[in-house]
Amino acid sequence: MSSEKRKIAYIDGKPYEIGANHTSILKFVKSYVGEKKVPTLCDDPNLAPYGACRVCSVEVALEKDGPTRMVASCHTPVAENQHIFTSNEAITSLRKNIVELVLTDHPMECDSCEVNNNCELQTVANDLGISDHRYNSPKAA
Amino acid sequence: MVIGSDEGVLYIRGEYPKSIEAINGCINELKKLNLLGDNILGTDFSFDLGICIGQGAYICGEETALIASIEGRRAEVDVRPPFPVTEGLYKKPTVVNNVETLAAATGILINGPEKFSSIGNKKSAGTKLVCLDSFFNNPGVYEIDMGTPMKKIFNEIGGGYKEPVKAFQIGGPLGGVVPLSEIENLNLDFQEFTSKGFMLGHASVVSIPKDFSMAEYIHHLFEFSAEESCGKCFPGRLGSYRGKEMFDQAKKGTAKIPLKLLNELLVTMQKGCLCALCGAIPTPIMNILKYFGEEMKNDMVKDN
Repeated sequence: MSSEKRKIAYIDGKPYEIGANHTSILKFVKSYVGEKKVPTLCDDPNLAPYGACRVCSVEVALEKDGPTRMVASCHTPVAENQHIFTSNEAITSLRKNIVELVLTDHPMECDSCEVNNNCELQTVANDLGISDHRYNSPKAA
Repeated sequence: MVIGSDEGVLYIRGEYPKSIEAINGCINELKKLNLLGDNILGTDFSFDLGICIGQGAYICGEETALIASIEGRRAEVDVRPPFPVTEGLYKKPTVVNNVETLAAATGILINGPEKFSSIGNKKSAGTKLVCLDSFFNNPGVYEIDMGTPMKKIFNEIGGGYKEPVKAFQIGGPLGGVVPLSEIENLNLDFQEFTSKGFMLGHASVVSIPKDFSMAEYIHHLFEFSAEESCGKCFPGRLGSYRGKEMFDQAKKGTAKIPLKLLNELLVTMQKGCLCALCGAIPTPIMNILKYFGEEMKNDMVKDN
């Protein structure tokens, strides 16, 4: 057994122990507060973190009540005594705006789509409460 | 020598043939003097320098994309960590620095840090190369002490303006847009620029003529990031393009700019992007909206 001191970090104010398999904030958060707490699109447990979708963004502070910074949780290591915030107005707005951008580049024909009701994008968008985008006649980017 | 490396790569854009030629000449000269190559000056220290010529992508200034480009991969930004110092070029520890930093480091090694920090302000020490464009009476690249008042740089060194200008983009395409009136209050100082919402960056100065449309300028900025984005992260790839479309439509008169959505888009890019290309393009755009919003008010709708 390792004699190393136990390290902790805080998720939404509550302390949790950092384990050896917690190679990112996302893995740390998922293992303690559930798979759905932080939405993801490009994350796959079998692949190295890619960091493209940014939907898994969370805010972190290095100390209690310290200044926060927005980071993509999938490729940011969890640090001792870090305070992680999984949801607030700024985070939700960022996630919504990113998914909205994805919808501007998407066919939006769910009813006739073969993965209807079995679709990661659809689930994430529904959970965030958005079904459409506000951009005026977007073309394929 | 300090970092234990025996090979250096100078990555220079292909658009700068004169720089490549000059650096090539320097490398050959140093080799002749045995200041580069094997067993430098009879010691057991060997160090060689090579040039890698960029193929025209702005993103290659970002360190992970630069490494990918040298390796022959698509210049796409990688997540960090691992940082290049632990896993960089060909997965080996790599120090990536701008040549201006290395040039300053040489001076610090020769003359000592006290001499360097005696120039300029406390945090922004030493000198900075400042590039003034052809709207100045004396355009050119000048090495200027940090902390020098901007109005002195523009009026005395630059010799004033050939034509009426209303603003300057300082620090490259990702640098802030500084209105003429703010130049009075600024010194050549990284922290000062940042605290006022601008970014000194590499301190190049692009003048914006008095009669140039700011909506057109924002269109150009979005077009730039849409063109130069590595295409990897969603807010960068999609956000830049959607921003460009808003200003396309405003230019054609087919739709007005939805200000609320534009502001949300800018915050999303600033906070969400993987790297500082699409993540910093909102800086000049937000500056323009703040200082020149009045000019564009007929092209905008506030509520959506």
